Amino acid sequence: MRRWLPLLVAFASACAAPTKSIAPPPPAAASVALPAIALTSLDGAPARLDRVLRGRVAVVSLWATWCEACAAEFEALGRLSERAESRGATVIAVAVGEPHDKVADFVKWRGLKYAQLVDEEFRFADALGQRRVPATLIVDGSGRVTFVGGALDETALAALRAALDARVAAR
Amino acid sequence: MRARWALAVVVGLFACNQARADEPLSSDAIFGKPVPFSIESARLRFTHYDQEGHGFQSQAGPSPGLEQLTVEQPQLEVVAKQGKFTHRLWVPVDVITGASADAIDGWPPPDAITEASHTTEAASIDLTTTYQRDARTQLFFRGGFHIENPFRSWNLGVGGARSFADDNTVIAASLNQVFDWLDRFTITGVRLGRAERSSTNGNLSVTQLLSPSTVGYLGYGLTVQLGTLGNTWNVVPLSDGTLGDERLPGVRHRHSLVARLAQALPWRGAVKGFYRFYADNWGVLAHSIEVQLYQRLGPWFYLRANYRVHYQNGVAFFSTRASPDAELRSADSDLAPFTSQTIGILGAVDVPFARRIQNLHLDVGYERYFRTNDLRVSMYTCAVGFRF
Amino acid sequence: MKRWLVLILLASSGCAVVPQNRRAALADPIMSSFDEDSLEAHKKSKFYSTREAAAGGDGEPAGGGCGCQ
Repeated sequence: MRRWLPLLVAFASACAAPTKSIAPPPPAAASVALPAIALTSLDGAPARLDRVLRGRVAVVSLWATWCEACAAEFEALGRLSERAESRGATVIAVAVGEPHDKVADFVKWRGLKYAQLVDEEFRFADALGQRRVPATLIVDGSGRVTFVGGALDETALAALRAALDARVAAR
Repeated sequence: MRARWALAVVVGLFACNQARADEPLSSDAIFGKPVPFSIESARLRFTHYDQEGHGFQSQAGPSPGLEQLTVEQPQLEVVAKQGKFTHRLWVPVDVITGASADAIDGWPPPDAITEASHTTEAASIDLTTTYQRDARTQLFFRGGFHIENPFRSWNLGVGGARSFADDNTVIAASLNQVFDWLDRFTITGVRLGRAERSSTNGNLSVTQLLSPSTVGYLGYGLTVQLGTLGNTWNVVPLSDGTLGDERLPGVRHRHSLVARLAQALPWRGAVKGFYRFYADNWGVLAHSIEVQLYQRLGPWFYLRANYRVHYQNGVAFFSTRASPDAELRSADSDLAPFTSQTIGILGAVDVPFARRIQNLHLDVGYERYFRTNDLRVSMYTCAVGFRF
Repeated sequence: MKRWLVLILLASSGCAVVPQNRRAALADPIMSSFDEDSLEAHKKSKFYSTREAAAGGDGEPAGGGCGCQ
């Protein structure tokens, strides 16, 4: 026992490593598959979200150019997009209910760097039962929506970390 | 043994570093440190009023006296956010020239009001703090102070709003208390000490989204006023050819019912309607209707045209030749029966920015008000505002 | 009065519920308020309440607060 004590101490210190700014993961929600509904890219070409994700864990943000609460989280989504790449995740924003060219002009003006798609007729949002903007979805590596929330917040980040950890554990 | 302890330390340090490596997806890393206090917006509006007409709010008689005056009215508003609290500081100032110009006719020169009335400055300071209790509930607290010659006023208010049905319906209620002190003057300008007035007001309203392009509003307000409800130096021409003082009831119950509708138009315009029904225990029944038409001309600029008509039947004791024995009497032209109309136009620019200043607002407007009992006012207004 | 309040609330809940993501028209600044801003609302409210006998119903007291009323 004494021989293993140092290793036990090392293990305990690893478990007690500082996590003060990381919220616990939210309770597991029933997951649904991403709807197989065609979206539109900023240049007007058809696009499918599941094909764009290519099996990656993703934060999908539903937003609109007229939505002030959505504009309040542009910077946070930009930072999340840069940092999530290192863990194999991605951020994709889906603008709802607006023409793709209007969204493209807005994205260019605001200098948004993360991936963008457009749900011009609300079909994607309606299929998910999402009536809010902003809305934040976490999609796991198998294309299932494991978290649905409003604006990007600590619980959405916790759900993202949980999805990434689950993916690592599954490998 | 020492090697095992060294290994334990190395493993422990490695584990700590691994935990820090998770921090790129931590709340602090993504959202940044919360800002404890920030200015959300600042706005300045300036309005100039040019009034001409005649009435009995002066010592002139038996014919109506001159009610010519000008008012310069700057207003400043600053809104700041502090966590769940939003603070709104509002400072309006009125500089009135020629107010109560003909009030004094006595000797010796009765009081400072003679000179003060040539230019009267009035200012208020008002602070409203709103607490966002949760996503659907707001509470507010308000306090303010107003000062002018020969008057000062204090006000306190509380209220709240709650939304229902995914913010489709908002119900709001508020309670306000205003307490006024004013100098009591005779119609010859002799000061007789101080008078008081209290105004207690309650409001209830419902705002409802009626369609993706329509908003409706219904509001009711009750105000109960007690005390000296006039300025004390208004005159009333009497049937015996002399001038008498104004005599008003010491209680006033005022009921207002307001309905509003805003409708977005498919060609990037909007139309808004407003109706108020008013009744009080002084015998006044009034109807006010206003229509506003908005039209966007480009992404940043819009024009607004407005028209308002107001009808009131006057207080029951209004007279320009009152009996000397009348218990209640007033010749105040504001309390008379009349119809008034207002027409106006305003142009505004809202320029969005993507930097520290999110939005710049500018507007310039003109309105013309005219009444059937000889009062006309031209109003010129402009505003500049920033949202951060 | 209570009966009317309940009826108004019931009628309100029966009105069309507009989903949040369908409120683009309502987000336009020309639709966002019934006046340009709170300063213009005060300007109007004070102007009319000091020249006419009627006031109130807009969340503000129908009198008092200044020497002009």
